[in-house]
Amino acid sequence: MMTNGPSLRRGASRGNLLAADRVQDGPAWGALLVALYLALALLPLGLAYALEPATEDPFLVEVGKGAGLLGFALLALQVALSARLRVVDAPFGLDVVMRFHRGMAIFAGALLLSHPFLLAAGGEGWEIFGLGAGWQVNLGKLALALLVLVILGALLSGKLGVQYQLWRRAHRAAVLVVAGGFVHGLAIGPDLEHPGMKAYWWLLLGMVVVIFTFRNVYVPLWGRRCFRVAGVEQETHDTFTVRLEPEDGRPLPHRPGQFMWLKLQRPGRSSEEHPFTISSSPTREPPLTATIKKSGDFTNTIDQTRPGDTAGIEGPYGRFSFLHQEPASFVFIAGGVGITPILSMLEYLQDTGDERPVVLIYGNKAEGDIIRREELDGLPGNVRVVHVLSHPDAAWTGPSGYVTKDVIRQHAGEMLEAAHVYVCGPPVMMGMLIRGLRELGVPDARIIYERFAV
Amino acid sequence: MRQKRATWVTAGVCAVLVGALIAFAFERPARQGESAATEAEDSHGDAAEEHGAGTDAGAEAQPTLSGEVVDGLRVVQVAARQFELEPSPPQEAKVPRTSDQQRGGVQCPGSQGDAR
Repeated sequence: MMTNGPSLRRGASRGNLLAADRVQDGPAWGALLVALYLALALLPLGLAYALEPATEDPFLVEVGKGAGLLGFALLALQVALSARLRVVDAPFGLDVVMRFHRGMAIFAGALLLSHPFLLAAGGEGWEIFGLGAGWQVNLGKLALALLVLVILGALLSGKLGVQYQLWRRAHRAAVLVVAGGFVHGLAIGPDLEHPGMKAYWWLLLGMVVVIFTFRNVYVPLWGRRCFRVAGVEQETHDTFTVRLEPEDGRPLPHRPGQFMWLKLQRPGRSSEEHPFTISSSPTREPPLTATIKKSGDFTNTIDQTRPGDTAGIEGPYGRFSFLHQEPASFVFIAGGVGITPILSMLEYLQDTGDERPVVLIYGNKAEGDIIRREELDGLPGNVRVVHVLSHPDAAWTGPSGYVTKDVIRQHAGEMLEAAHVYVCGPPVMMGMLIRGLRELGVPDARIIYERFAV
Repeated sequence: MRQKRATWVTAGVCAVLVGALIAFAFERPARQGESAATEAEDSHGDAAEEHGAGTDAGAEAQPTLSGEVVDGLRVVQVAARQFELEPSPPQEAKVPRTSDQQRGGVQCPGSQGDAR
């Protein structure tokens, strides 16, 4: 983990910022985590085979039993993937961990859903789907039905317009699936009659209980850093910057471009936790800043935040930072409030005297939407800023329309041979630009972005 | 890049797990078949040996239950041979066996229930 200290103040070097958490940050740590994940997932099959290498059951029944064992192990590991553990986030980035979590949830769901059908088709009989199959079987079916609901809820909540906080609470019901699956397996699973398998089953449950308690009890009560709102500044008609001072005086160690989970405690308002980019550079903190656009139930009230309000901060998270690469030059492409991580990186470059060439292509609707325009226009000579407006007024003389690959080619074409390109903006814009950059010949290794579905 | 790699890692992990599941499900019944066959061979050998011993002793193995029922238990007298470096002539010893032992060891050589 990163440590606090003066190395993160003005003049911090790339080496200082990376040195503190070098082990968890590297690919070797990532490979170790993947290997550990595979080992824990495969352990029930390995144990079952080692303890009883031969059975009389036919192939289909064995696949069904194995699917149940494997599916439950994966389900238990899902709790670890979604717990926002920084040792897991460090080598991959939280967006990638959540992407993996999502993929493995679908896979585990498919395994567990196939479990009763394979058993029935293999000779155990279709009567297991009836209510008279015994409480152990019925508990398994109940857990399975809940799992299907949880997965469908996660996949469709965005399309159905379910509120983020409501979805998060409902998603926690997945722990009931683990509990149901645990009892079902222990009560009826033939492979779990062996003490070795029972021990593994209990180990999985113990891991789930510890991590779930850490995420839902320890972190809310003691796991967040306490900050106090020092001020709120209006950037544009709908965007505000909240300045936060640490109560203990220690700055939050982070890399430029990272994000945090912020929970504001405001009198008369319910406190909710949301992820926000840190828009300030570690070289200028404290205060730490979050630049927030009104775009939802919670953010619509951001202008009602007052100095003195308290804030709990968890983080930092993410790998959207040039400190993870060795860019020869930079092309930053931002849309709207997507400028916030780039503001942090630009400040960091400026404060560390970095003179590598930079082009910033910044898309907005109108001039009034440009966040911190004066600051951007006052950047050093190695930084060229191109404002692109989709709905400019008649007085606008700069580029107009949307930021497209043609705009990128026109304003940064000569740099695409060697530059790393950092993209942050609305999902539709990002998808279009990433495709466009590939068409322009920029390899994936030099297109840097984070895409969240949390 | 990271997202693409994540997709590949997810697919790779799923493929490894599916492979392991299929291997697990394929191997266990196969091992059962192997051990059952081994048991059958062993039992067949025992039976043949038993048959040979019976011949030596001038008695034939009968497909029907032999011996006599004493107090509800079938008592069978079988010949046990003792081997030394120089096989000595078989010495007969009368060993009482119950019907349970006979069912498992002599009459049902390929029983899978006993193979486990």
